[in-house]
Amino acid sequence: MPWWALTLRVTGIGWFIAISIVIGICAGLKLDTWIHTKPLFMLIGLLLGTIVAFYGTYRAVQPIFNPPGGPVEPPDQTGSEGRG
Amino acid sequence: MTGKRATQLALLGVVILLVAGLVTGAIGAAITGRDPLLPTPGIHLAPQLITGEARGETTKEVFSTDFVLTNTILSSLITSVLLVGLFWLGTSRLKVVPGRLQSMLELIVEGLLGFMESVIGAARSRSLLPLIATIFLFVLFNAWLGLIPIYQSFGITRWTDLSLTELSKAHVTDVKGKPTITVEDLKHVVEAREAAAISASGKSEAAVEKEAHKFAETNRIEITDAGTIGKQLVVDGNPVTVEGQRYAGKAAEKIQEAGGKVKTAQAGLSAAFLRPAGTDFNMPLALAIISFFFIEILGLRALGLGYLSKFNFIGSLLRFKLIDAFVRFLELVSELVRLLSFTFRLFGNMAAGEILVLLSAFLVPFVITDIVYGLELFVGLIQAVVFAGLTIVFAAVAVAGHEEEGHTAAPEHKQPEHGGGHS
Amino acid sequence: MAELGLHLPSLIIYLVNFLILMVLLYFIGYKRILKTLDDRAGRIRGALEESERVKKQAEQAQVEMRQQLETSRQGTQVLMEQARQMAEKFREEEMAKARAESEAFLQRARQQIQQERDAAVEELRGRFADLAITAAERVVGRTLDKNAHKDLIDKVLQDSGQVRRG
Repeated sequence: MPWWALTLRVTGIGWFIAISIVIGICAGLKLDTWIHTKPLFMLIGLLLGTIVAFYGTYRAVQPIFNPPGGPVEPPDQTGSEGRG
Repeated sequence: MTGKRATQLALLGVVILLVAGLVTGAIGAAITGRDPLLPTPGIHLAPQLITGEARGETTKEVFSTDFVLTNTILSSLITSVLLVGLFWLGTSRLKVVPGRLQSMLELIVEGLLGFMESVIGAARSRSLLPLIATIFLFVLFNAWLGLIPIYQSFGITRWTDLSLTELSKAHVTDVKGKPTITVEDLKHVVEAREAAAISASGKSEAAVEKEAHKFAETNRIEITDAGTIGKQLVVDGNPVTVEGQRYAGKAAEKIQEAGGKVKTAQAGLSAAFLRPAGTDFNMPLALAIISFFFIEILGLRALGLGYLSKFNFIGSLLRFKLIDAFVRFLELVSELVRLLSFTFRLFGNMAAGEILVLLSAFLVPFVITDIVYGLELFVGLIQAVVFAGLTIVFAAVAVAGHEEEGHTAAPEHKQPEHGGGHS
Repeated sequence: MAELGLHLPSLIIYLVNFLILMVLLYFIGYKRILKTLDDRAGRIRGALEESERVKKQAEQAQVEMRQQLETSRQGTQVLMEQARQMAEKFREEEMAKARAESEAFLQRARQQIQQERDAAVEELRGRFADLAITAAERVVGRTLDKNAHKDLIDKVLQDSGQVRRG
């Protein structure tokens, strides 16, 4: 994969982390209101969301540090920024 | 000499506009302690209906069966028609030596194809091009169309903020000189409260009705101005946000009938007829769903049913490979989370951009708004690139398992092993 | 989610809208553009091949021209050699002619000189005979008759003729 695709994927991690944690917490809260176990599932959801966030981050940066087809060429210029 | 003079004049113009922005905007108004000249912008995350009985209000019911046209859907239809027209014009008379439009379209298609080929290979790029190019163009044009200055300027007149402001004035300048509102007016205000209460707490209608009548009988209503964005009704000491402008509008009418003064000249928009579709949660969600399905179908076609094995955590669980099962479960969950992160990335950027433009135009018009416009042009392009680009990247990841088994491996398309490799 | 604006009818409309847009754009846009791009790539490839061919042809023509030039240079050298030889020959002929002419001129001059000398000798002899007769008259006086006189003259003449020849 070319460097810009890897950059793009890493750029996308931000929202992935946020969304995975938020979804974990929200699903936990929903479960809690259903079966009245207020903080339990929210905490579990938080934990799971964090794990998913870390896993997604790991999967995104893995090809950079351990590229299957030889080392990644350093980019000529910095990747695109913004609220990506 | 003249160049220098022109620069000086331009700078002077910018400074004048900046000052004018400070004077007319809400920030300047707050400093000088007078009412802002501009109406407060109505900011809603949900799209507004522009047809039907509840026109002007946001979509509330998730499971509604009525067909409704929202301003964002209209905007996306316009974008679609524009894109189709652009391609029709640009390609109906293809020439060997292309015209400007044709060469622009060719540049876009060729550029996208080049990007795709470097990630996913030439053969798959061809079949994926319609999806990627359409996502790119649709997102880009939706974002940029919304930035055309006049685009969001027509719509349904807003009642809420204005009429509530006027309500508070009517409260003061009632005919009898006393701050009273008739029970009839009160009922309408209570209706507003009712609507708000139903949408807020999910209480039963009867309970709210009862509560409302109780409030009506106490006859103590005041309306306060809470901040620049949301006006609030305070009913018997309890703040109530009025969302349904229909109720507030009716209340204003009643006050006029009772002899109160309600000024309606300075009307804002409660719902523009056109609003960029990216600010509607459903549009990013639809794109993300389509992108998700295309990626999964591509993976399935490349790898057969073996593609699903990386999500098969139950199989691993049955064979007591716990870590393997957990990783596969994470793979499945992150696939779904990815769908939502696609959605929220686009939605967040577009909605935040719209709010930023609206607020900057309200707070400090002219110069600052121009800067925000430039930023939003850039953000629109970036989001189009990111959405289309990430779809290609994840499509490449989905088909990569196929190539790592060494059938048609091109080295740069290889991808590290999924799931099972971690146990 | 409703606060965010999640709305199933909208969602379905967006899905359908996007899919229709994609199909439409494929048929009126991407397909045609891809075809144009392919055509152009093919044409460019053809043009490149053509230019390659033309280049080769030109190279070959150049080689041929060089060869021709070489041949013609050689031809020129032969011609120049011939011309030189001809010039040499011409020169020699001319020189021979000139020599022969001068020889003839010399000969004529010599003959002329001889003739003039002969004439001078003749004249001299005539004078001498007269002188001799005169002298003899003086010596002999009128003793001699006419016949003797005549014989004497003849004898002298004969002698003088021998002198002339001698």
